Amino acid sequence: METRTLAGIAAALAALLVLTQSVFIVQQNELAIRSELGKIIESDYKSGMHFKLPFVNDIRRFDKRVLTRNYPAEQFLTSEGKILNVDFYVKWRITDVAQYYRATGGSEDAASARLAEIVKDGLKGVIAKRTIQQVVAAQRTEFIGDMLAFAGSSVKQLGVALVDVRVKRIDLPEEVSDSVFNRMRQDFARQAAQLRAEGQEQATRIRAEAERQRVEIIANAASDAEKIRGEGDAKATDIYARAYQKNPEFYAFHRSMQAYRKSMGKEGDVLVLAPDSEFFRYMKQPGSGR
Amino acid sequence: MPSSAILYARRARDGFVGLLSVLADLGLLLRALAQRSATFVLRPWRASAWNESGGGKEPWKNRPRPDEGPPDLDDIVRNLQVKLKALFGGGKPPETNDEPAPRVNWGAIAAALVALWSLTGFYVVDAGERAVVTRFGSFSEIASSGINWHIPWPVERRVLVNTEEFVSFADSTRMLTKDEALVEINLAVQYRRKDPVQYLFSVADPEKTLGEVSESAIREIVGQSTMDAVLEKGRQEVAVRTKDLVQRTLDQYKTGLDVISVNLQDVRVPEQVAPSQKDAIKAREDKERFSLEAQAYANNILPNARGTAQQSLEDAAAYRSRVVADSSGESARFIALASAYAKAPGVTRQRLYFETMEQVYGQSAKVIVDSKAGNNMLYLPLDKLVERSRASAPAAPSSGSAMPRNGEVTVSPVPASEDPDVRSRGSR
Repeated sequence: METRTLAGIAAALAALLVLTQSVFIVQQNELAIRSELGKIIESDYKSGMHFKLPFVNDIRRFDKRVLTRNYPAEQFLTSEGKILNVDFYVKWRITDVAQYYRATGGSEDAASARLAEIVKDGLKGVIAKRTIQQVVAAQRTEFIGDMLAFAGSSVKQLGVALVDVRVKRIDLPEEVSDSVFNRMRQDFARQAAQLRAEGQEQATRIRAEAERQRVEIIANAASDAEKIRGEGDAKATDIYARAYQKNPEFYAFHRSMQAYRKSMGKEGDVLVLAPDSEFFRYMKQPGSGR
Repeated sequence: MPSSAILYARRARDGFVGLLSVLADLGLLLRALAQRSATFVLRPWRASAWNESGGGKEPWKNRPRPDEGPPDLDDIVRNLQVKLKALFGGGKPPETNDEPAPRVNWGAIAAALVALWSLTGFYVVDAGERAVVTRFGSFSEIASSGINWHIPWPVERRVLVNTEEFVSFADSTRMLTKDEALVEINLAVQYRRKDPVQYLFSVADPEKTLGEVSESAIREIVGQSTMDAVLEKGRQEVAVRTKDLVQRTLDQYKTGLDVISVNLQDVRVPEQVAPSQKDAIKAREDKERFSLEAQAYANNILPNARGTAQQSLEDAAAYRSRVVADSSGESARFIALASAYAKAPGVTRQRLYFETMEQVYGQSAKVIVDSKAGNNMLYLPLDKLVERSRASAPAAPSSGSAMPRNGEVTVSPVPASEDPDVRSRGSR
């Protein structure tokens, strides 16, 4: 009875062991290969539960997702012989697990090292054909397009596909950053000088224009004023003439009298007179009346 | 490989599959119960596009799906009973015959265990979260917020992903512009995990990918813009274009991330250059200021000039009015005087003459020299005479009120034109 139970339990445990050893689960984001004694038997698994021979079959799993590898900045030469520090990342995916396993031993590091070589060669070619400005301003996709085509075949041997290669940093080496700063400073100084000069130009123009307008306004007004004065003078002359013409002789007398009064006989004047005018007639001959 | 081992394995597989099938049915039962109860809100949403069924390989997938119509509870229970009997009841008839009294009810224990096990399948999805359920590693469904149930481990598993939360990624880097200048940009990207399935299964480390893509994108866009554009007006445009590029690239990788916004929080030149840039900004203000000052000057002198002009016009008009009025007044007076004179010319003439002379002689020092008396040698100390007469005169200032416009300088204490007395007396 007891031995039977023990045997039963042992059998059950053994069965359980065999059972767990004969199934395996491939996750949604995984790829798997089943190999038997080092020989790949099946590599085309969908996600889900699958069966294998316990203890004999070997299961290896690989990431099915898009994988990323960042590479540190490296120096590249541009077409004008200047150095650029460029770093980039590579996005890739395993497409042929069996091939991938054979080519890299399933090591992501080995795969990305191989990829780096391929991509770097491509990048070197692409950058060498362009000037710094073209490299900096290029659409990264256009930039990478040639390279993906070029790298595609060599990458296929690794059992992977390049999803994307993208340049992140494009920098000038540290040694030249001072000269960049200098150039920027000069740029700003030039800008500032130009702006100020433009300001002065504008100010001078506005002032000069205003001065001109002022002179014009005053001159025009002066001219108009003289015209008006002339009108007045003309009218007055006309009026005088019309009046005085009525008796020119009396006008001469009358005006003379006025002039005498105005011009002579002021206090402080000294008149030296000969008493032979009408005024003095009776002073000399009081008696000789008419 | 011995064929008996394979046979054995097959049998074990069948048994295992049978057990799983029972578990799956139990799951269906619980799910159906949960759906009926009013307290639970369960909406198992099935993304059919992702539901790649394994076909004949996996028999537990052939059972009726809960979303293919309301499951019949009775059917499920009956089905379950039959299967349980097949599993536990069929195998060991002799033991039940031997000891009827202390018989252990294995079926009940198994049922209790199964019930306990199935309870571990309940889980809560918070608001804003989605649960991605996988069955044997294979994507099965997305569950939305609320209480949910899935077939417990090891059959199904769940991963919770927050799909509503806005996540921020910030980065600060120095980069080259199109004109080979350096700018420093603080970039902030907000995103959410829109598609939990892509998020989980398409790309290794999607969030890190977002960082890489953002960095690459902002550099690309800035590399295509000049420094001035980046620093000033193009800022908004750079942000918009960066967002587009990031989203496009993320979609290409199928990260399941949705970029909500890209902000350039701070765009500046490196600090080594900052003073020069500040001066350039100040120069811009100076430029503005210069022309404003000039404008202010112009605004000041032009109205003044217009005022002056108007004044001289008014002066002229006043002059015109005055001379015309003067002339007509004087003319009228002359005409009146002349007509009066015409009535008695001789007497009037003499009267006017004498009155004038009276005034002229009356106010000045006089020396009367009767030259006809024969005394030709006459000593006249004129300077002394002038001096004396000056001293006797009231110390009148030299009559500044005399009209300078005429250019006449007069020493008269009473300006001629303002002395109506002279004329009026003369007219009398």
